Amino acid sequence: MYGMIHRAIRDMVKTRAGAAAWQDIEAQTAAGPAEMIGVLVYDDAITMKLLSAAAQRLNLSLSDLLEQFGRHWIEYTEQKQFGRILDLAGSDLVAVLQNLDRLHAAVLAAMPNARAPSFTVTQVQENTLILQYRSQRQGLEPLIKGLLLGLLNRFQLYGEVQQIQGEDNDSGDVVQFRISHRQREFAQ
Amino acid sequence: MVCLSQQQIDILFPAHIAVNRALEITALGPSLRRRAPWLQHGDLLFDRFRMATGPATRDLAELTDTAGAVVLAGLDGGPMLAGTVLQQPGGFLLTLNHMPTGNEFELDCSDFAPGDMHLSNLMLIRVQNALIEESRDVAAELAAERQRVVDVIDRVGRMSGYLAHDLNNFLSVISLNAKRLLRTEMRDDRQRHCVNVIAETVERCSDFTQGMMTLANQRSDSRLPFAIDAAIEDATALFRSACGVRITLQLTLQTGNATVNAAANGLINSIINLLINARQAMPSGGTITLSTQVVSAGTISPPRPQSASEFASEFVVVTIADEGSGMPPEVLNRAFDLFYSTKPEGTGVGLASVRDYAEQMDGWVSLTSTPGVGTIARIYLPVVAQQQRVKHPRMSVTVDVPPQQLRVLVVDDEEHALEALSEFLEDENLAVTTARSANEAREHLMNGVFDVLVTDVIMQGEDGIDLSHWATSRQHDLPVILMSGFVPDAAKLQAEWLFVRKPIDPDLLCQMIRSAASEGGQETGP
Repeated sequence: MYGMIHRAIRDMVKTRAGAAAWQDIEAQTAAGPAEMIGVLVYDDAITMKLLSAAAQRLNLSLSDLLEQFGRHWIEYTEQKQFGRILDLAGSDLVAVLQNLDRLHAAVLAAMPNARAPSFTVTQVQENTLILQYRSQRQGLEPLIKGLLLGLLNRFQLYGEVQQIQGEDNDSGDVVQFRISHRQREFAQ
Repeated sequence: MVCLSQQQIDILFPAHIAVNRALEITALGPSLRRRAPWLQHGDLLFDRFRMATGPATRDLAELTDTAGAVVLAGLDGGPMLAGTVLQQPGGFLLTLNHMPTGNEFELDCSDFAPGDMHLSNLMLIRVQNALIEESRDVAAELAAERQRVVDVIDRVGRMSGYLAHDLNNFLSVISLNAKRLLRTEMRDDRQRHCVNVIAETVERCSDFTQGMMTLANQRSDSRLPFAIDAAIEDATALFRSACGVRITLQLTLQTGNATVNAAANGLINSIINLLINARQAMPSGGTITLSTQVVSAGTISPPRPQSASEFASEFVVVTIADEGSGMPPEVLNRAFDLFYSTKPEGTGVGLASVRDYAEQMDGWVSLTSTPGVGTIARIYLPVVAQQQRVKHPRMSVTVDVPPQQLRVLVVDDEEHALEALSEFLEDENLAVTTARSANEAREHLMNGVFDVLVTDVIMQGEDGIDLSHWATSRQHDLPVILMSGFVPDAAKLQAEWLFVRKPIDPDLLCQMIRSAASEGGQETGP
């Protein structure tokens, strides 16, 4: 995965547990400034090592860490120029989800060695939609769930993300999420 | 003829505009409805837009069905739109899409048709801007990290220098007094043995302070030609001590008389560092091999790095191989990083100092490692060509000068060192005057004549360098010998001054005094 992910992991650990916690992770994983170059693409093993160490340090299961990292990723990118890319992807949840593949296509054009997942929105109804997720990587469903929860938060929506498996699909290669959402009501 | 529904037109041309024959706006695409709310049905098209390129005509009939015929620029900061003009009943349909210019209102994917290249380009530009921002952040982080490391290295270096200086002063006192004892009649062999052990241990300790000085970039050991195998043989006892009792040290020295121009103590320290690492990789014991050989520059693989001597045709390779646990690639890649260590008690300094030493000697060091098998460290040093093997003139101590009553002023603020040294020199038939400060030395110099000035560098109050400058300004041909465990800044010294490191070897100092006096023509009559 590309170094931007590593930097977001670092940001999450430092925010929640302090700089010393991150230094411990660096020592444990033999990761250093060379693994934090945002524009480089790194072996997935390095990324997973950092995520596992972060989970251990934050006393989370890997699954919980992935979900929380997914939410953190949305908040993190909003603070950077990457937030402008999300702006371009759309001004509402459905538009952003529908345009994720276009966004990733642009990332891949800039960083040819990267690998990106694919998303397809199906069955859009007033307060629910089904999102199909395809990836060469396995085991990152909790991270995707966290990203979707982060997007709900970005658009001021309450909602739930539920992973459903195999509905209306025989191949088994596709993971499906049902996203239900409603607008937040703010006090007058 | 193609018929499109309004929905299809909205999808394909999100910024379309329909006008009647009077060029009044009758319909707007969803993007314009959202982004340009000031556009209203009934507005005249050219009250809101101007033709940006293309034919200077407002007659849309002339532009009908001509590809790319229309580029409209919104007035008062409105959007830039491009497309074609189609005839439709009652008027015209301008099938327009946005042309992003970079300084217009915010657009997103919904404002573009599927497959619109402008959107892809816009996305790519934003991704690249984000990556540029990331690169700037990374560059700033790396620069800050580098500065932090430089600061730490500088502090460690200075502290090492200070510690080494103070330690050398104490070692000097011990060494001088041990040598005084050895000169006395000792009937008890055990006593003599104990004093010898003290003297040898001081020398060993001095070697470690040399390592600290190297780390402090204080080059207290001169680069001199020496035979590698002979130097390693002389230090075998040190090496075995570094390996400990559980390790068997096998020596295979095959360079013959091959000579390198390097700091001998630095090499010994480097080998000790590597042996300690090898030992720590084999907690249950085993064998470490220390070998030397000469290799031709052309046969080295991978080839010598750019920092190494480009002129040497041969290199001595000092190889230390262990049977330890080895290092995985991610650890091996960082092994030479300063302060990087996988050991809880590790300082991360040893390998960095070995690398620094090798590079300062115009060589290099390499590591190869196989997890579960072991690690091989190789130090490469350029072999000195035959004609370069000459003694450094300033360190030449073979001077055939008959003993003379030379008048020597010795200055040192360390009382015990001064006492032991002066006694030693007096035993060598030198007329010694002592001073415990620069001020006291000045008084002696003003009131007496001396053949050689021997002074400590670091003293309370005025230091030995300032004293020496003052002394030689009064007596230009006065030889000066500086004593210190801390190498002074060469820029502050005069080229002809000599330097002897602490702990002082009094025999060497005697020879240097006679040599300096001889060169300066200071010999007095018998």
